[in-house]
Amino acid sequence: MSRPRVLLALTVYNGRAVVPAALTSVAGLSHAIADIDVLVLDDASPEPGFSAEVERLCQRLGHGYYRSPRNLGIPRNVNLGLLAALDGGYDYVIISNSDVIYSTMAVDQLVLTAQTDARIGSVTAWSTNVSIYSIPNSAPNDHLQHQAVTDEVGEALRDDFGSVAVDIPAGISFAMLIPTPVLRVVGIMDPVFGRGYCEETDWSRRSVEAGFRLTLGIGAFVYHAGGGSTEAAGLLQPGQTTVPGNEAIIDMRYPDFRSVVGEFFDAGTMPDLNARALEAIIGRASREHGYRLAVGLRPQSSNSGDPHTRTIGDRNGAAGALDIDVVLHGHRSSSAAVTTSVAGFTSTFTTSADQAAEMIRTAHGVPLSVDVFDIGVPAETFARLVAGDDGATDIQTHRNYPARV
Amino acid sequence: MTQTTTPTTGDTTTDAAQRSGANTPTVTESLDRLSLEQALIDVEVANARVIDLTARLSESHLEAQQLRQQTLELTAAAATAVPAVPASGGLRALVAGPIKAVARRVLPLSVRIRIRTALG
Repeated sequence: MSRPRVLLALTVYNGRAVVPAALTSVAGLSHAIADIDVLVLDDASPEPGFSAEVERLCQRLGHGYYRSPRNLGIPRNVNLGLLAALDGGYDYVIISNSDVIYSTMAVDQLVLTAQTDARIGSVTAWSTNVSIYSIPNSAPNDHLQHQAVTDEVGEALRDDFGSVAVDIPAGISFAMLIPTPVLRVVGIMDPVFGRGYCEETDWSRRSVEAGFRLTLGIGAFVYHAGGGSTEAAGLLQPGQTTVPGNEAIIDMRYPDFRSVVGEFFDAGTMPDLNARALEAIIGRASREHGYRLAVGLRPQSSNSGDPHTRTIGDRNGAAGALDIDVVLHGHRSSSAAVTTSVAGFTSTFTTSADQAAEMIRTAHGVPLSVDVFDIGVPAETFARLVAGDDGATDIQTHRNYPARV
Repeated sequence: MTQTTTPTTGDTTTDAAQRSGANTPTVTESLDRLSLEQALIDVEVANARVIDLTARLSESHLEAQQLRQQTLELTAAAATAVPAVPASGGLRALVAGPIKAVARRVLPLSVRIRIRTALG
């Protein structure tokens, strides 16, 4: 069996702050499963000098580059990518935004997911910013735009979910793979959606009517910043996340679509998957890099900063450790509020202090470091319960009261 | 990205031509062609939609006019068809009249007298 060929069509409209990182990211994609060609479709970006910069970068990275002589709008620019895939005899096409960072194995995972069922019409990558399917993250733009961090998240999800395809009501074209045979049946995007928004929902519902499945590839992670270029282009009105006129077309053509989305929500699919994803990401960070324990509230001036904004990796891309913050409260500090966070992925729970210490020790082992910010026996006792009495972990007790006191 | 849209045949002449770039469409040429073809299709589709929508708009306009006329006619007819409320007795008399007629037909006189007494 020959290796599948994938055309990754990356649409660009301005975006000096994000496009170079996206182009660099897709240049580093794994080719273990598929042969991947990248085609950058510049929709006549008006930023002075920008198109020339993108073209030069594409040449250097080995990507195809095409600048439309006139601005086409998102649907027609995407269509160029779809047509190029058909014309070039590709097996799959990925339509992709340019404010993205692909985890290295993402395209391989998308292909493997599509290969699980011939009825799959599309596979949307998973992300922290993918409409109603988003994995919660407190500060994605602070962490996930670093390739190393996105790769770690991608590996965690790939290892846990593999090529599982989850059925969804509509695909999201920020990073969506379509088998080209499906494209021949369903057709391309409808230009009636003008400059864009909702065209992939229309395409999705047409593909369902043709008998295909719409799926989310939960083992394929792609970071998506989102919204920047469309807001700058005036496509979205301030404060809006969609184009009402285009939503009206969807409502007219597919009167049952809203109820299909409602049924998807009611099924509780995403909360379950999100919880499992968090567990996978946190578990991997702990296994690979260990964890740092903090007991008590960190003072505002602490170099460690807020755990929600610390990164899994430093700015050089080196991987970092998980953070576990415990705040003791209640009568004789018998309860513990535990916050586990890595790269903005955060999990919290409250239980008894004894049980919390046991759970942390069992799940994550001995900490790399321990900082105690609350004065008092309970906090230090808790720290020793987790770290052990063998003195392997140095417990730093900070006698400076936090600002709240 | 492969810069050609035609497969390599192994023919030395073709290979030479490809190396020189003489007959091989570049990405730009290929996409210009695809873009132009699709633009022409889009225009055809857009034209067909405009023709279809114009026909439907005319039809809807005619239907709206007819419905508006019907509404006016029905409103006028309703105004003359509704019976006038009697001057004496008002609404009560208007409602009680038909009930009394039915009662006279189905109830014995003794029962009617008892009801009348009870109601005052």
